[in-house]
Amino acid sequence: MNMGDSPVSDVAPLALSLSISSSLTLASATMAAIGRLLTELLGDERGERFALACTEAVNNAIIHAHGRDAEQIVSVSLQVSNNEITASIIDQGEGLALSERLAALPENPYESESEMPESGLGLWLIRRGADRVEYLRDATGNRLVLTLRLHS
Amino acid sequence: MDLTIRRVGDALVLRPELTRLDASVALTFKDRIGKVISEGEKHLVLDLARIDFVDSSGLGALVALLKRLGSDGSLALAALRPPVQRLLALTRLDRVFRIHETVEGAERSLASDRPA
Repeated sequence: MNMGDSPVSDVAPLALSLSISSSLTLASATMAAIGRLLTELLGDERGERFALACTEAVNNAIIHAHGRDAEQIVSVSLQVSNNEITASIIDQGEGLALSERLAALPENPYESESEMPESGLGLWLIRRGADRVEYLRDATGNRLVLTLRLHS
Repeated sequence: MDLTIRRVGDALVLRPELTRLDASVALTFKDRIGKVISEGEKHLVLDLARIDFVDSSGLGALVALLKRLGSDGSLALAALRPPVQRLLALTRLDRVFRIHETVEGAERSLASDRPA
């Protein structure tokens, strides 16, 4: 069932949790399925942006935190409560120091055509896809928490 | 990554047989099309009809190819699906790529751009 831009009005309690190896191929297939769920839940445009934000967070974990070491595990969880959806992306890798980078993001992805980036748009897309982005770092790894209201 | 290639005049129409242009395939995509550019092709149309998801790595690959072709060449995007159109608008890349609703429209534009 495709809900288009009309989000599900009576969202049942939803909780999803899974762990995958740090493989971009596996992440692609996993996030494709999660993306379909999110567009059903949030409508096309908001669902696409939130799914993209989650995908960027998972890819960041695989590439930057785990250095593409497929032995490492990335955990993804989604939870709906209090009229919000929260996605948590957790890794066991190197510190990403995302708080400072998130705070320093510009309003626009680039200022002129000559500055179009070949990389580095991921964090900007994470911020644009969610209402709130929180980065937590502890001894076990990184946790990025993305929150979006269910209704715009 | 499968790539369907068709020549139209002095341009190539390239259709990546992918549904997602993301970090898992972006480097391969960039290298594969980069090889086409290395072989001397300057005018490319990318038929993105099958692709319904692009992430920052995919966008980066498209930007890298556009920069590589430079002012002597051209890279047009055609048959974008709505999610990809919305992403290009969000990132303002719709202002820098030549975008055509259909591949046929891109081909007509190529024909009108070239002297008979």
